[in-house]
Amino acid sequence: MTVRKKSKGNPCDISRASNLTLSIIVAIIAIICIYPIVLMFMISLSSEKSILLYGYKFFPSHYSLEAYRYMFKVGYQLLHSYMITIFVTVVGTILSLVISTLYAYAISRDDFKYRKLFTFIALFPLMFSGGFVASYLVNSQLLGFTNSFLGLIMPLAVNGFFILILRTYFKTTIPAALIEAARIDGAGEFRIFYQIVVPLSKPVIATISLLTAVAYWNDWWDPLLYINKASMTPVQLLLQNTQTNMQFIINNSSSLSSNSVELLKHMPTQTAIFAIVVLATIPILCTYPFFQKYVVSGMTVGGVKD
Amino acid sequence: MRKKIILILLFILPVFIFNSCSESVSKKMGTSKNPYNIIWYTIGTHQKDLQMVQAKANEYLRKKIGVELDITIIDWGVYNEKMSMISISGQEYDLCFTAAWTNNYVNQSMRGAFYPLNKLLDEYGQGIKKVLNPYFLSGPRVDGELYGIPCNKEVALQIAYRFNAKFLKELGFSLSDFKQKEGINSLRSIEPYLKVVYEKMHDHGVIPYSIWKDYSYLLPNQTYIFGNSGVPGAVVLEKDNYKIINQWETKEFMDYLKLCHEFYKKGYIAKDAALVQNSNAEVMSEKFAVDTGQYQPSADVVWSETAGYKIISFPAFKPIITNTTVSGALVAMSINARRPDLNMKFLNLLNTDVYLRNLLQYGIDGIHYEKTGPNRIKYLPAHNNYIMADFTLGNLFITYLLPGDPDDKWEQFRKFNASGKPSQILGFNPNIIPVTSAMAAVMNVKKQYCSDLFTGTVDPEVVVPQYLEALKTAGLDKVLGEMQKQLDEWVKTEKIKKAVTKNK
Repeated sequence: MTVRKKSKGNPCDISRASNLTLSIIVAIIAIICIYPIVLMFMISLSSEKSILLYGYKFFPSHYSLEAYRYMFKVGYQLLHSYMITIFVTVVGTILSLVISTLYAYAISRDDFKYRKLFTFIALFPLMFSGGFVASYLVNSQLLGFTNSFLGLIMPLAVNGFFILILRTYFKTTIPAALIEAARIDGAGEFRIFYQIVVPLSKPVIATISLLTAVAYWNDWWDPLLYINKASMTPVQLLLQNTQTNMQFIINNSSSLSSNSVELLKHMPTQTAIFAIVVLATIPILCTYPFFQKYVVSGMTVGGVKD
Repeated sequence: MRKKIILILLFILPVFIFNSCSESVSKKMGTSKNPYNIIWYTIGTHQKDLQMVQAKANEYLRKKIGVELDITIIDWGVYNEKMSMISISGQEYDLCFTAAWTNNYVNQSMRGAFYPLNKLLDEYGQGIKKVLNPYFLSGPRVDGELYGIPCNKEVALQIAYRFNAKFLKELGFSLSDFKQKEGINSLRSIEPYLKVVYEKMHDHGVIPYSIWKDYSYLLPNQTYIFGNSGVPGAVVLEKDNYKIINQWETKEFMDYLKLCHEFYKKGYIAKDAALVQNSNAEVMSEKFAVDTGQYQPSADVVWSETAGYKIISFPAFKPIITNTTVSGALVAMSINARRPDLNMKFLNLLNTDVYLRNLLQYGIDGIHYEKTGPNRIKYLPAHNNYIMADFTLGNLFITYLLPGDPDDKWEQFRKFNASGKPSQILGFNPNIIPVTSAMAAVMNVKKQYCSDLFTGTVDPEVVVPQYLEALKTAGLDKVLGEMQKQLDEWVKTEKIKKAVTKNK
């Protein structure tokens, strides 16, 4: 005991050598993560010709702001898409949180009779899903999601995995005695939920909301399926379309007829695509630092048992 | 128990609420009083002024035939996926763009996604029959039925060798130095030029002969059942010859592959040709000397304009008309279209009405363009808000000319079309459904071998036998046997048809 105390003040301290090695390893991983983002930024700054001649380079031979100028010119669509994405993210996250927390709280209570049935309903689609053709048929034909905000919001609104995380958290960190006490004080079910349970569960709710928001922000698959109108295209789909359009036209330019020149002239260039990527990633990148502590704490949420 | 039922009902209820919402939306369209709404999916990129042009077109169409357009432009890259989703789910629409290369015309027709047009064409499409090249109406038939109205453009395919004019001049060559003959001979005659290019310009990164991954060579005397020369199944272009062969077994094919391999070994073809997507990068960076392209009248001008420097060309063989060339761009009608008659009337108008056609193509006179002659226009700056792909909107031959176009542009196209020689199996579209799995296996094998062989990367004398062996294991004999059976049947019915029309 005494020997240990002498050499180390804190049992978590590590020796200088292993500290150094660990730091180097982490630094390398960090660089691997950051490199593509910086490269993307540098490509968006290089001139089109230098990409054609020398390929993608970290330090382009010719710098050019042409890509951003192009984006500025066709900016109305980008701006519009931004609005759509922000709207969908905000509304979707709130809706998703409301549904998930209420659902999870209900099945976390032992005195709820049908908790097993509902846990099963939440759990089942995690393991078996109907496949995407079936879900497309239901969503587009039966529910009429085509070209509506519902198509952007509803498919991601409920995530069984998040419900289970929330349920575990409610169950393990909120003592039944507390709820009972609140009941004795005369609080109804809703009051117990939003004045006792929600404030106590802030960390897990923050984590879930961050994950949901990122999922909504990055979603391009659902809009690809359900949205046909440019006026409702979110940023990620716009990006996807821009990219595939250019590829498609170039690959098929020989079978497209006389005005493919005209079409190509008005297509965004390689650099413009990277400029869009930069413009589409930066906002979500900027929000990360503020939420980071929740992301970290989110990893351990649901893993602790008392 | 009662509670459980209530719970279940609670779950189902939202479905009905949503459902009734969407139904009320769909009921809005197409009541008997209002003009009929034509829902039209087409390919392109979204245009800012589409609504404006559409409103103008609707004004005209309401008066003329009592319809309105509701055009949705779906992006190039996702068009194929989206249309297959839309048609599989049975969603309601009227018209859509289809072609051999996206929203596959033959497959979709066979699946029953499109409305058969033979009868409608006779009834309401007289104008189309008059203006379209007859091969366009006889070619894209599936089991004798027409399922789409093709865009009237170049009907024949002709591959041309394209040259960077600057290099040609610098190195002291001219087009007359090459044997402008059929097929492999003309490629051989280019060899001396490739050699000089390689010796003088290789150090500057110029690749003498640019070909790429999906490049597939066409022999002038063969036509391909599946529209792609890499996929086995060909018929030699001779009158009354209906025997399906495997082109990879023919001597001509082998000769060509050997020549390519020779070029590759000598360094005329890029080392990574089998991995490159297209020759675009080389063309745009002015590092190309020779490649190939699909010729059409005034193609040199178009190519030069795209590249930004002079490109000249000569054709590799005589223009041929095949199933692929006649199904380059069509407008098809959905099987779920509620008023096929009105749709057909509209299509007839689209192909014959100069005002409507040009309105949809170029936008509004005075806003997007201005007239400089009776059928010649000049773009105005607002043109940037309305750029449509011309081949998606029907008959090209009645569209206005642009400043750079020759006066007789469409006359040249007509002449080019007239010079095309139709293949004897034009109109035969094979049904691969009976041999689906074997066909898929064949396509997998093809993917594995074709790029390497066509780019000369591997020695054909070694690899072609391997390829043939792999094809055999994949079940090629079954596929070709089925095709031969279908072709024989097709020939029989064609003969009967011809006899009937003669007797009439």
